[in-house]
Amino acid sequence: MTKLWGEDRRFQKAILASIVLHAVLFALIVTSPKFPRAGRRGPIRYVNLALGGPGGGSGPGGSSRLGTTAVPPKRETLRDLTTPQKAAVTPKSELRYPVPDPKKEKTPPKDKKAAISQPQPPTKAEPSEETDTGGGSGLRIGGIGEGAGGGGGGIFGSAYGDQIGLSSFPYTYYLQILTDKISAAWFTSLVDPGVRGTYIVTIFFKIYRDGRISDLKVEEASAIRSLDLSALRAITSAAPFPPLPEEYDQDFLGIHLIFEHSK
Amino acid sequence: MKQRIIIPALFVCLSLAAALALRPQQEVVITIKDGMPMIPVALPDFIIRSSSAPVQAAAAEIHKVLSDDLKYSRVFQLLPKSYYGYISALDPDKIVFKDWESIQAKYLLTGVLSPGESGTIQFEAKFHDVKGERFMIGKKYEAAARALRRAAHEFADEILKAFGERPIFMTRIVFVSDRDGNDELYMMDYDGENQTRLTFNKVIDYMPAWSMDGRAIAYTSYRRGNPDLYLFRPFEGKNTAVAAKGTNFAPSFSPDGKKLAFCSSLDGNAEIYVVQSDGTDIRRLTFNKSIDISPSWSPTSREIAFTSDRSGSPQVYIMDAEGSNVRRVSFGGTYHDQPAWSPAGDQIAYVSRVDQVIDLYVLNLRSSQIIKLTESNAINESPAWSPDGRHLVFSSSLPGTNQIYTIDYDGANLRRLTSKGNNKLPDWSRR
Repeated sequence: MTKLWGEDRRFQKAILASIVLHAVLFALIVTSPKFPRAGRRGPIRYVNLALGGPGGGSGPGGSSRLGTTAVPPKRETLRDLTTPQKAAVTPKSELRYPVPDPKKEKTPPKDKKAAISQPQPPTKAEPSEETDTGGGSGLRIGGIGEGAGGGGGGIFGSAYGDQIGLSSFPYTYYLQILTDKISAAWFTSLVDPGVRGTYIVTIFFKIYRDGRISDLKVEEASAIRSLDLSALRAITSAAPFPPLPEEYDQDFLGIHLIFEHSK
Repeated sequence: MKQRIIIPALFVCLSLAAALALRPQQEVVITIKDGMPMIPVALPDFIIRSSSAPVQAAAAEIHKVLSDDLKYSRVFQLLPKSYYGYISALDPDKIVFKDWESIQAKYLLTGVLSPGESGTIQFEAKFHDVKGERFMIGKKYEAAARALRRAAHEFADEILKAFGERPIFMTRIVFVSDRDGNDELYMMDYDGENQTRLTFNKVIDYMPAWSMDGRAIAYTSYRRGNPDLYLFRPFEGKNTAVAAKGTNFAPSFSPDGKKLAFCSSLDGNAEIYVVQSDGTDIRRLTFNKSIDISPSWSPTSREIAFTSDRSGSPQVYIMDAEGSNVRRVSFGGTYHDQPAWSPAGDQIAYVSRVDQVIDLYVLNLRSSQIIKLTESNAINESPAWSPDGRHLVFSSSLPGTNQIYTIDYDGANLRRLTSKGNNKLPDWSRR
């Protein structure tokens, strides 16, 4: 082998070329945005999104929010709703006053309309208990598919949503514009009036660099069709959106938009 | 030598291209918890292209009807008129959408009125998406003065349909009134206007129920001395007997329009029967010694809610459309009656008597939660849903006589529709 190395220049060049190529490949892998790294510090901008809301949110990990929303409520048929087991549930109060008069109900003032969260890879996440340090914040935004992710939103206290800024899409101002526009176009009066409880529908769509959208679809349907339709209508009505940030170097941004309807 | 350079270079280029191609696209998750409770609509005064008094009056009338309709819908919210003073006057040919957006209007409804031929009035209505700066719906009507309300209702329905909602403004309510002496059938618009007498029997006619297409009314009449079930087609003037043995009452059409459920003592006891909508093939659904009455179909036509005292007191039950699989759904009281299944299928309205006071309740089948709709020292009964499930019509003794009222699904917006004589047993047409 030593003899071969010393005598054959072609072999030496081949080895060198191989080393160079491997180095190039390694450099490509390391510089890839997909490559997971713990201490990556990107161009993070912190924007106060919980305007006026107590904010706060889940601490490290933070995947529990996505985890819970990913499970849609079980679809119930009319027969399910009227089975003896269901029907046998005794109303909590007496008939004379079965529930408080809806007119007299006082709902506590809501803080802000949305919340920002960052979904995390389920396997890497910290224990998924939500350590809500500051009550409901409004906007929840987060990135998908960034590997290590990381938590930490809780430490920002009331001013920020949980884990904001650690998304690989750091332009939170853009996401806030998006959320404000869609919130303003989501008319909950279009949801069936009899709907009580919390229902969630997840819509996916892509925003291209010029703000146009495509691939709009219901990703996780709620059990309420009118809610799904109202969510789709909100996005189509709010579009087109402003162009993606100039610094953003990709062709489009995928949005998983979770509409949470509570009544 | 060249080959030695080209191959590694090619390899490097391919690697770079592959790496670029595999570059991940970004995705984010956003949660939105609150939207707008209602759709804000601007409805400025209509443009009148005439100085004639009839056109001016027509503009005022149509504007009021449209305004009332949109407010009643529980879907739209009209902007306060004072907002319009902050922006320049409307020019229907050149709308400055930014102005309307600045006063928080999401949609804009404009109208232009002008005199038509032979005393008619032309009304051109347009509905605009303010944010999208685009025209959405438009209609041009030419109508006599008496048909202006109808034109306004029709355009309001068009707006509802544009948002995927069921139209309700052209619907009618049939009811029983003794204003002319004895109980006869009457009909009115959903807002109480155009009250018209339908039957002229000089005998008791009661418990009317609309067919799904809104073209026929099933009701009980004593015209042959016996309470028989009839099918009346008011727009064709036809009246046919459906069931003529025993006491027949409380008809209810299945939503698919194929069947008619009703209560009858055909076999001696009050039981629930089903007949084909053409009056053939009568089938008995309930078989027991207790009283089974007040059938109401589920929106899927697969189930029927009804009242039975089989447990010792009147309670609301549900059975399959064939009569099997009976289950009780009302609890916690000793008198529940007159179930009415909501159009969405997730709620049943019914009446409950407590201390001689009868009030309306709504049972949510998903959550088993009960909401009390009326709270008055009166008898509130005979609930029937509007086609969009946002309102109910019922009769109440609140003013001292029985009158027809509507109320929203959450107990808001109590509205009285009748005032002459005693009025009861209303039913809301589906279209």
